[in-house]
Amino acid sequence: MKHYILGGVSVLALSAFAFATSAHTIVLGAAVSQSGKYSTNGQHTMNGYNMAVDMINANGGVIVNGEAHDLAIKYYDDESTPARGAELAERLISQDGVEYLLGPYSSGLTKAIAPITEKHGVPMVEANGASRSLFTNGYKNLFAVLSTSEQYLASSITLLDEVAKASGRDPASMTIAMAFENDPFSQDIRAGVMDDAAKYGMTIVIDDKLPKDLSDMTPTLTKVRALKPDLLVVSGHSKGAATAIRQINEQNVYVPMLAMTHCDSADIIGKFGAGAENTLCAAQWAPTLTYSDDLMGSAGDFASAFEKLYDYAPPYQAAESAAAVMVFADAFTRAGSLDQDAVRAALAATELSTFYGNIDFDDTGKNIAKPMVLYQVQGGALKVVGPTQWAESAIVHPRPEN
Amino acid sequence: MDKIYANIELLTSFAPTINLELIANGLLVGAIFGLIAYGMALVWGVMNIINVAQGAFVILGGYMAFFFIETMTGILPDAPHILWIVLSMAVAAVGMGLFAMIVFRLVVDKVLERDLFVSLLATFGIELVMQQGMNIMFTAEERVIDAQLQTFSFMQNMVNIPGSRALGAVLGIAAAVLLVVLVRYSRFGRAMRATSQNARAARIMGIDTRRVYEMTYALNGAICGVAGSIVAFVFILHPFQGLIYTLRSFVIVILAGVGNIAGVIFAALSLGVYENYSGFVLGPEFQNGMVFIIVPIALLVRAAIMRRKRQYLK
Repeated sequence: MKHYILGGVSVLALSAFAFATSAHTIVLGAAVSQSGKYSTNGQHTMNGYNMAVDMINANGGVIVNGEAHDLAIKYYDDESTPARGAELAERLISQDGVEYLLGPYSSGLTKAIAPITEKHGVPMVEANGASRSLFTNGYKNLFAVLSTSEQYLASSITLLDEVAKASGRDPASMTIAMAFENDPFSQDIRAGVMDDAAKYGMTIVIDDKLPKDLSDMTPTLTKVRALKPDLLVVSGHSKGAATAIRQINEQNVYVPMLAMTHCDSADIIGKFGAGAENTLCAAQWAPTLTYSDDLMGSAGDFASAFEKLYDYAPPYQAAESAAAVMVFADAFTRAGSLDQDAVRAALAATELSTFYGNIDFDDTGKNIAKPMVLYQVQGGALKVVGPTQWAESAIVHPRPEN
Repeated sequence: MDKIYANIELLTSFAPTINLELIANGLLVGAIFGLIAYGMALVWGVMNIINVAQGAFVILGGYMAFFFIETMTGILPDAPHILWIVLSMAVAAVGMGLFAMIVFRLVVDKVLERDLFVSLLATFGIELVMQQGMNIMFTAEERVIDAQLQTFSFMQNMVNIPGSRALGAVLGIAAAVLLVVLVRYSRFGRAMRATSQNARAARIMGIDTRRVYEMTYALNGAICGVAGSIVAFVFILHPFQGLIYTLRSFVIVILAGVGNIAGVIFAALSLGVYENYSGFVLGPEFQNGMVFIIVPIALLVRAAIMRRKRQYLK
């Protein structure tokens, strides 16, 4: 019985593969959240993937060994649950015969899928799993185009050091309040902030862990008001960002510098208007950056093309997802064949400049060529203020008291 | 441990202001939770059903209020905002009342006579379907209503009462008082109490108990609608955010004791304050955990008191 099943599966796999190659199409598989709590960001991810695939196909496809191939993506809905994601990755590989995978949305899902791709030796380029624990297992088939989580808010500490020096104060006298959600991703961000704070000798005065079903930050904010830190960093996905902005304003809490993640996915400007002013936001990417490539043009070109297509400005989740598809296309061309080993080697040797930033994978598979950027909400728009060499605008510091 | 000592030290060194703020905020938040718990207590007491879908009802009510306000401010941008806030509550109350009535006819009515486990499962199922339905209809994006109310500051800005929370608490308490009066003095309230005491006897006396159950469930829906619109301008709306409201109301009803309607408000206010203190001293990650720790304690204490009084829990 077992043999029949195995035989059946391999025939299915072969036929799927035969179908794929005869039409000169390379099928990439992806389990992305279309329902459940990650469905919004899952949609951003899919839009990014789809747009890149359409652009590549419209521009002559992927040239592999002199022959043009179209790209196509086979999607499944992982329902925002890791167990389902792993199941679907298995299905994509063993039943549908997909040989290359694009990543899901979120670190948790990526963590569930990575062991499956590793087991089958299927290369996966992912764009939405930033947890640093993904890159400590020695995976050979995992490639991530984005900056990893411990870098997310570290740039805000560097910026605090710069503004302290500019105002003639000792960076070591700076105090930091931290409120991070109690999940692996946010705690990675916290670890990065702690490392950088220690580097500059800054003191951490509040270190609160926010619960997953957070609705009220008052106890933390009461502490902030009493201890008056120089910087408040908050990270708790989009819910954390929206809750923090709302309650910081409502409770009249003042900090000279406020940095957080997920400002754009929480749309804090649209929701809170002036209440979001001068908030610093960490982002993987910004449309105003000067990166560019031949396919998408500049970061700004990508943004306007995306908006024309999907009717909303691309969040960085969409940009990095598009970049992941471009990495695959580039690797197929350089490998000169569709052999998994050749493609894996080509992926590992990637040195690509894209509209999203430079991409160069280290031995663990994470992209080390692209820094995080720090926006500030200025006059109702996001302006890049850090790292200083990419800045389009000077930081407003301290935030004016209202 | 050091962190906890540091927090206690902070609490005592800024004693008047921090304590005042934690208490005030706890009371305001507690009043909102109290309203939701009130609806749960009603359904629990009258129908012997623990409505696990309570949180999803609240969130759906919030969405109704959100979309009502968004539509109305689009049509009549010049009308005073507070008018829409108040009207949105009425809209959410009516909308959720009707919604609850439909849910009752489709599901709850079928499991009324079965044991508690079946109704627990059924209402849990309703919760799941509603969560996913809201996720599909409204997306997982967080929504908030901006109440556009100012914050009241006292003691050199050290104690702050956000206008939205104050409004939420006032409306929550007003709705609860209205309900107490309704249950105690109206004809329908009398029928409700009779049904809850002895459904069979009530039926013999000519009360249409099925109708009473339906109206009770609809009334709970309306309460959730009002609470949902408060949640939308005080906290945040998200399809999967409902469960904490279910759990909190469950704890509040347990603390007050099933059938003790007046106790609900007291339990809710104390829980709000207690929660704020535990979040402050132990850290926010323990805030929810500390809420649940008091459930077994409350049950043990109540059992001990009951035994002394020679009473028993039904």
